[in-house]
Amino acid sequence: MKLTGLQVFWMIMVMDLGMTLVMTLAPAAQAAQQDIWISLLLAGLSILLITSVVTRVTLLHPEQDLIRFSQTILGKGLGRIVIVIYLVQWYTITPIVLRQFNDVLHVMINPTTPKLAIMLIMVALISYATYSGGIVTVARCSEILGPIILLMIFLVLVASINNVDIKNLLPVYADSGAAAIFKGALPPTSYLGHAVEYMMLAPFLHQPRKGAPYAYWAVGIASFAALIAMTMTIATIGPSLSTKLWYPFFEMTRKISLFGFIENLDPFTIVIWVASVFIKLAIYMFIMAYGTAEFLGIKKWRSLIWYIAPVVLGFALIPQNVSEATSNYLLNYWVPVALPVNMIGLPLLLLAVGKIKQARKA
Amino acid sequence: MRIDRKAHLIFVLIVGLVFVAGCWDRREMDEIALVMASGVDITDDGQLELSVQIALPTAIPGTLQTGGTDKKPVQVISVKGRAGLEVFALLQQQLSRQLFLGHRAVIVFGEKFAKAGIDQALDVLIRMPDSRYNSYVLTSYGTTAKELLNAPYRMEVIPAIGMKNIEAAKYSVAVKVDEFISDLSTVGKMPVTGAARLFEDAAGDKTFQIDKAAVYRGNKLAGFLSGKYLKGYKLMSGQAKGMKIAVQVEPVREKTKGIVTVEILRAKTKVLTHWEKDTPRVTVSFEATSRALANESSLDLSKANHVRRLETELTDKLRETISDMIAKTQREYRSDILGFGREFHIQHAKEWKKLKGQWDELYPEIPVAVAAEMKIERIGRIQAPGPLSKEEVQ
Amino acid sequence: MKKRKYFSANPYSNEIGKDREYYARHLYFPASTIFSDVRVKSMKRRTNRQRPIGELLAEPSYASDAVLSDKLDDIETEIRKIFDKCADLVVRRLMVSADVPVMVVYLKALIDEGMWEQGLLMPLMNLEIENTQDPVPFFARFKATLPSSNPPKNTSNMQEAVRLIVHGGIVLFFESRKQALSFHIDDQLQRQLEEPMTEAVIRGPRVGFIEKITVNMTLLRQLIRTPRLKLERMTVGTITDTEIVVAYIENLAPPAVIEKVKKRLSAISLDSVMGTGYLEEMICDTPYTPFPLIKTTERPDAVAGSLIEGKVAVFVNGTPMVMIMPITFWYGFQSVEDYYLNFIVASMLRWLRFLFALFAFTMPSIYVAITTFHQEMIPTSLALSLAAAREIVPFPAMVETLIMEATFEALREAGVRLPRAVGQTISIVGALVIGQAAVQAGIISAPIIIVVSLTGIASFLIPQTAMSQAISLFRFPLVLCAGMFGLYGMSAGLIAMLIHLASLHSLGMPYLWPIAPFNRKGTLDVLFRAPWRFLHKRQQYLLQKRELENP
Repeated sequence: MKLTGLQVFWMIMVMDLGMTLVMTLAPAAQAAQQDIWISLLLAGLSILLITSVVTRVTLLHPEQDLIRFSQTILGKGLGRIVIVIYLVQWYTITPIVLRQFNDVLHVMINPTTPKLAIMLIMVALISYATYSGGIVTVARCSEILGPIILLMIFLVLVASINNVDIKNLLPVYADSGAAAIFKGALPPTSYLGHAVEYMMLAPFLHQPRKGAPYAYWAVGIASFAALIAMTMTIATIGPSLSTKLWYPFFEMTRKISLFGFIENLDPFTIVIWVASVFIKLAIYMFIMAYGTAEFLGIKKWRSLIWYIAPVVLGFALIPQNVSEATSNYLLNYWVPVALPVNMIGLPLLLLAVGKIKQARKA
Repeated sequence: MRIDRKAHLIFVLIVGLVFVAGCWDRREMDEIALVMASGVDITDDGQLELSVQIALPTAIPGTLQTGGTDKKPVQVISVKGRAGLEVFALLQQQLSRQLFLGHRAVIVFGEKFAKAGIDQALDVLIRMPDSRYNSYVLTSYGTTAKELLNAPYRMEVIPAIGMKNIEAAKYSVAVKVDEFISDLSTVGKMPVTGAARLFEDAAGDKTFQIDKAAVYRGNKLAGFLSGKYLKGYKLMSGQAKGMKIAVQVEPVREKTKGIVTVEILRAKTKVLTHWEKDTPRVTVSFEATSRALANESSLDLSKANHVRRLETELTDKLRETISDMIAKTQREYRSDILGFGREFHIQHAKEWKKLKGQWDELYPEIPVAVAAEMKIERIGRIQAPGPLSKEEVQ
Repeated sequence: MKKRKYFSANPYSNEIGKDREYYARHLYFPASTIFSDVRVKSMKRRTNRQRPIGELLAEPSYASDAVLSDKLDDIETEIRKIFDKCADLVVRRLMVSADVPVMVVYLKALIDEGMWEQGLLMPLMNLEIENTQDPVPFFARFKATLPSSNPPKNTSNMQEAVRLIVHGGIVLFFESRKQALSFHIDDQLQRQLEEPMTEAVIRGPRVGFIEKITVNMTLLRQLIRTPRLKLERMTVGTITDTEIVVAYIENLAPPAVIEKVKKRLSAISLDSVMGTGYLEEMICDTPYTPFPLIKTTERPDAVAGSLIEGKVAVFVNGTPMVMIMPITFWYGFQSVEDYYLNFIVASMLRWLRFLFALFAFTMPSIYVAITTFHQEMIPTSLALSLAAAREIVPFPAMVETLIMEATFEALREAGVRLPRAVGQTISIVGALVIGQAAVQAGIISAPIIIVVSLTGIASFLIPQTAMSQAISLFRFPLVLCAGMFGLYGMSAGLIAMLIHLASLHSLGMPYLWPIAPFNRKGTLDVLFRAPWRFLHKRQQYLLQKRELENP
């Protein structure tokens, strides 16, 4: 299993972009209103910082993934605790993403299809992808789907230009203030923070030492695309209405009208968006199966997929409704715990300890 | 290996089962009732009356089905009830097919209903997944929405499509659902819709006409703009392009009526808000270029001084039209349809925080200065008015 | 896991090793050729192993490995026993150079009579040779003085001699020499060289391969004049003993691929090989896919072009089709003609093919998904006419689509098999009865006819038949997905197919290369047909090196 740099680029990009665009727009807009673009600039910058820490950590032991190098750096005991923290993150975010994805389909296009059916299909897809060729198949899929997703976003934005009202973005700063903008930056940052998964992907690269630029570009382009798309959404729908809708980005595509003939394109954009969720979940599936196998010392990581898939599906069925899945997890775990600990704290800790150890050796 | 295979099998089986049980959201094209227009009225006892105009595809000529051409291509059904969605359910009971809102071209609010407040209908507009943003909003004038939906229209097979096309051509004001909702939810801007009424055409048939604009104050209908007020509103709301303006430049003479008609080519409006001595003040400026369409006066438009005279006349007329319209919305309707409040918000964000709560009361009191400027760019194919002899031209 | 029984012919033994001995004793061929790789490889590439059904028929043994008898009479008896009831067997005693008794054995049906007489019999009878007792100088002299263009081959065992006879050889047995000489005088019976029917081009060579492997090799050699063009001969099929040739250009074809091809070919234990299809399945990486992992063509220029790209070609005797490997998904959308046309036109044609391939694949399911799930996407006027057309149709749109797609496939299949005259009738019946009548009777709606026929036309735009068939096949599950879950089901189906494609390999080469994994230079010949000066065909090996070395 070997990846190319470009594949890693597309994987991280798709993983970051799709969900951020759809899931974090409403919470970010609720806090920052029309100044969401400042929040996103802030988020983009902090993500680049996180990425720089993460890529540096992988450079300490380029041939090892997170599961192994955290034990090399921190020692067996502490290293294992770190791994458990990450495993908790992966095992919880996957069902939540699955559930959020299901909610989008429910709200937007398939209102009466049972959630089990929708999620089962997605779980089947990600299990098939990871089982049939591991991360390589997922990487190849993302190499094909990535450009399509990016093109879809681009076309939606171009087609929406007519509907944009710049006045929706004014006045700048006056309504929100620094605190609100900072608060608005948190959800996108936490969703863009998937650069952390680069620590699991890096050792699969042909040249693990040269992977960093791809990670930077991926994160940079994802943040930039999210910035443009979210700003345009706010400018099209208006800050007051955007905060009341679940998925403002899709509502924007619903407003597109080309020649008075092509209208209501949102099912198409949702369908293409499904691809980005698929990539994200498939990567998580691989990381969970591979990481758990490595952690527990199981040789056949593929067999684990058959255990993980039902668990993910079961967890995803727990939340009662849309708000529980989307807001509660985001506000109670993802932003206050995962963001500071998993995305900032632990990589920094690993980097610091690793550097000190290296310095001592030399 | 073995567990792998078993798990594999179970998984495939479950997925297969899901497929077998499938088809939840499926509706065939011949199982849905395509709602082309819907209307909301309020009855005297305070009940909601919902009317829908449903297209009957078989009766549409030009498709494969032969015969039945004298059938009416639409059916209007109405039902009374308490709340929005409940009435929808009642409506559904009457139908053998599932109501489908995805192709609704027009939403009509009855005049009485609009005056009482349109809250109940709004939620229905956005919550249903299949209702589209691209339908136009109309308010009925002097009649009910039900009557309007029942009115036949000869030009198009389906009357609702006729309404939609008239709206799309922007003869009155064209407002779509999304704009309407967004105006409603923005503080400092009031919604406006087109207004339709019934009238009798030359053949004596009843049909509809969209010739007014309905002004809302919050969620309640405040009144209608027509004639020159409508014109004034269109000038200020960015729909000025292509508008024709006739102006009396000289008294009526033997051979000439003294009227010049121009068509606006480009227009620019600017709203400047001022905050002086703790009171808000608004300056509105309107700049346009136009071309002369018809000259029924003795002016020779190839001469610079004549053009300048025409321009002054036009400018005066524009200023008057706009300030009359603004005055009407301030005094009579007390509704900020031009969005001065929003401009305040943008230009004086700090002060707006204080103003925000009382803007609706404040709006009628605000002094508004109107400045207008009109330039003639093209004068058409003839220099001097054609039918006049050289001496008669000034 | 329990050890599986691979061969159960021997009732006394379950063990593979013993089976092997059993077969070695009873089979005509040395056991090594049958078992060489099967057992070792079988664990890894389980799927490509031939699965024996129940009891395997034991092959009767024909001849012993022993050296030839020195009595011609003994040899004749044995030959006659082996070729018992073979009417075309000819055994003839000759006396060469007055005192050397020779027995000539051949199968008349396989021999070119004229060549035998002119090229061998005459020189043989005119030969004058000293009859020395020592066989080595005798045969050397015999070979040196025989005025024949046909180089003889020595053999000293009966098995080999029999093999040579059934391959169209004339075998000369000598009294008390314990050796035989064989001359290959194959019958030149063959079809005329014709323009290939299945792959017609407008601007390009008009010659196609035929069923005779030697002619095919000639056609190839005539196009590539270099000693670096290697043609390695092998045989497969325990009964048919079919001749196959592995062709490649040294230094251009990746050694790993050549090795793999040869290894897999020699591991095949089929009884018979009648065409490329037999081998294709046995040597490709994953047989469980409808997509072609090996390309077949009957055009010499296509084979030559592929060899230059560093592909390996496999010729099989008895079929005009030649296998080319490894290939990628995109080969299905390329035609040799692309390289004969102006590059702008060719690029445009490629895009047209991609577009219509997408149509062929997704049109019916998009129709089903949109008309039954997302009606709001249809423009209003179209929605009204669609609704009107569907008004009296009894079936749901999904069922209707499936019926019509199946009917179309049936019509197509019928058209292929039937003689041309009857084919016309089929098209009339198809067009009139199905198209016109079904719509008028209100059984099928008119839009579906439009969709299906457009899909059909689109599928004919795909140059490679195998690819076209694979795409037609996947259309059906996709319609099902679309009918169940609308566009979501459809996208899930498409993603599933993408996963399948992404996990496929052709001889270790990723099937979606150069798009995934991406290779910029490689895309020049996939997304476009770049001008020749940018299109370094010979560099393909370099471009693919990384993928081939890190599977």
